[in-house]
Amino acid sequence: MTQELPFGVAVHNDDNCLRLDVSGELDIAFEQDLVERARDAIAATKAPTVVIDLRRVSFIDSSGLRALLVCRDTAKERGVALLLAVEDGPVGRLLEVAGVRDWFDYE
Amino acid sequence: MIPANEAQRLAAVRRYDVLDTPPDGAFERITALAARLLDVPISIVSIVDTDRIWFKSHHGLDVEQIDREPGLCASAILHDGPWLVTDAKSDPRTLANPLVAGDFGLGFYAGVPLTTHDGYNLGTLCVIDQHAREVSEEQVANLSDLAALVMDELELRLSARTTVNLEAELRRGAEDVASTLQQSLLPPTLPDVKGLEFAARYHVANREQVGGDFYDVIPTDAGCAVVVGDACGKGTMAAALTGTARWTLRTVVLRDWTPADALTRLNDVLIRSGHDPERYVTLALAAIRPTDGDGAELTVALGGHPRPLIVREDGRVEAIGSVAPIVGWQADAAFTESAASLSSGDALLMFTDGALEAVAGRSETDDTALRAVLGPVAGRSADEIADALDAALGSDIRDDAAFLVARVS
Repeated sequence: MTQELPFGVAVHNDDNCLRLDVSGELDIAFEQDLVERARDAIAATKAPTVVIDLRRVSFIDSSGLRALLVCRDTAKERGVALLLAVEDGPVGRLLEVAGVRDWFDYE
Repeated sequence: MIPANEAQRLAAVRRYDVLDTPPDGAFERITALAARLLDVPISIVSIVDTDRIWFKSHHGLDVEQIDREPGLCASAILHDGPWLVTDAKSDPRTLANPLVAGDFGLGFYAGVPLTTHDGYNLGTLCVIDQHAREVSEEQVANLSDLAALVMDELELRLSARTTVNLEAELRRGAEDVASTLQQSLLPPTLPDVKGLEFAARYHVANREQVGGDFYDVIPTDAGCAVVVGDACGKGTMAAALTGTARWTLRTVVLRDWTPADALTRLNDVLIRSGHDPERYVTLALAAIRPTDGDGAELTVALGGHPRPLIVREDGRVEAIGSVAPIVGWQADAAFTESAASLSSGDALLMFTDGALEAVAGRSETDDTALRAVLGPVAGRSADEIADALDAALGSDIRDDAAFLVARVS
């Protein structure tokens, strides 16, 4: 049995970079959470770069991927550079299987 | 002694659905308290039915109901406030009543009607003694407060029951819509294709919601198209996307098609279809063409989907397909094909992420667990392979799971 971590997003904002530290299981239950937190943060920030750190995400499914794609498109619309922080693991594997690894830039 | 609004009053009694329910702590406590506060031996929560008075709680009296005539509660509910008989044996209203004049010898009765929010007196909270006695204003006020408490309790139960019933009804409605919609998104039966046999399984994680997974087998001129896919999300949005994807593929594979070409066209259709642009599908699409011998040629294209597995008759398990992007999100997505030859007894397994998760658990990210299930059933019929996978699905299916086995017979 996998350990279920609560899903969470911690936002760190400084002049140069907005960081969203995401942890837990990123599935349909929390997809909208991430999209809203990320959209609000991207809309509010003056930083030129946004990093979504996914290294502490223990599970991600197609809804979670959709959330990342929406963040990517939102950042693009606002002229903000979006970087993902990813290690080999569930997020890396899904980006690979979904064929979208090169749709993102990485930290 | 019948209230003017008796028909409506009885309807209210039915609505609260309290008659003949088992004894219950809250009401027991209230009658015990009423007896103590008024210093009498007997206290009753009564409900006045068509021809009987039924006791929801009867403290100090071992009787569950009496006839409506001669019950004093039937008189008490004719009044809006407390109804007091302090000396029943000399009171002209009660002296001839059999409960008073007979063996029971009732001497004192004080009852407060249980009035619903819309003004119907269901019954009473009453206290009884065999001797005549006086009551203070404070005691009557206490009894009235306790009667209000009984009514609150009845209202609470009614509202809880109404909510539960409503929820059950909504849930049944949602399940009904979901299952009807689900059935429209899956082929009712898998077709006969010469030289091939199929088995498919579908498990929804939540019966109230349409799943986003789908599969299809479509006969074509040269053989068949087989697809397993997953529309991201759940519910009606996912269902609409699934429907578009499935019927687009059914049209595209009618003539002159290859799997990669079909995915390119599907990608195009989904992007232009006006669907919520923030949605996509992943799928594995295979063309299976039985050859003149007893084998088949397999071509597979993937769109953001886990690689299907070929289960060779001798027990080897091989993944097929090369990584390509999700379908319906980006116009310039390019899809590539992989080919393999299948011999008699070889099977192709196509599955969704949910099936992988259900077999391997959320912490596993590759298909090792699936391969371990498939090896021992290599060479068996499509149904037996599907059954083995079904048996390997964990009991706790958190995402929808679909898989399809196509085997060269």
